[in-house]
Amino acid sequence: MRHSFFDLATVTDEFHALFDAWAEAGRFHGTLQDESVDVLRLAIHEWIANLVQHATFRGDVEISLALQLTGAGVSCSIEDTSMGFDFAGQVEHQRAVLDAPAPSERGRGLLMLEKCTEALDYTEAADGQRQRIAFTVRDLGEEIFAPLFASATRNDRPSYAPSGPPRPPLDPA
Amino acid sequence: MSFSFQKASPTSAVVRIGKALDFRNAAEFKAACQEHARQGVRYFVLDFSGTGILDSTGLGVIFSLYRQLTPAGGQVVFASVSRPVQVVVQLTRTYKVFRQFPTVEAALQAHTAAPSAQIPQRPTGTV
Repeated sequence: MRHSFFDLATVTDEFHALFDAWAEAGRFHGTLQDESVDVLRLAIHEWIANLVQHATFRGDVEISLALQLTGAGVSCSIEDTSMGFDFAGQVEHQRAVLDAPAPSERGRGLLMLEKCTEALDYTEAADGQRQRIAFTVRDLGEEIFAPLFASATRNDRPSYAPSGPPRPPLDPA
Repeated sequence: MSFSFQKASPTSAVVRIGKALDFRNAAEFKAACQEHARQGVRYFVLDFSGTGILDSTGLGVIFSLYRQLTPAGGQVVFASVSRPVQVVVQLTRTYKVFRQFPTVEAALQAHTAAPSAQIPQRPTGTV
């Protein structure tokens, strides 16, 4: 399953229409339960929302989505032509926001994405001109509903090795 | 905008969320809720029947409304929660904060029957 989007104003609506069609055609049957299909949709939505709201694009906009069914779930790759950002720094920033006495109403998107996916990786794409995020969503049953924000300790949290030169910070999604 | 407001009483309102509450309409939702709160609404029933997307921004503005209302004894409750929204509620464990009802009518009846008894406990953890 592959598709490319070229307009930030319409990408969200286009993505959900496309995902509806894939789901209604049963493309995820046998791989993900219905709740996990919702998780997959949410994860992709959060990343698209992040790009629409915060990314800076060089030249033409292109966001390419690729989904692959595997024995373990659905692996997802999203490449874009934006200038990228400091993913690890923003995740830490969002954690700090949530730890504040009066948490902001914003700044949960990357944490939600981190929580509901596995093998999350954000790097430059192979051509060096694009950014790429990849993750896997699989059926986890009750595991996926473990506490999202409250109880994770630093040792439980994944780390992200910086790749390439430092990137400009991005406002939290 | 996919949501709509319907006042059930001078102090309560039902918000039909519609297809989505996300980064595209969250600011509009927040402004509309604040306007109703200024008019005296203290009990918001969010009707999530048919809602396909509740994202982190949408959840954030609901928390903002919650923080605005609770000092004055108000509350926000969820009704007719769709499966995609239930997934978000479970992922974020926000069921600890927002009481859920199977229907809008049940949510309104609970408020009418014992409005002062419905004020939820403050969450013990950060959500």
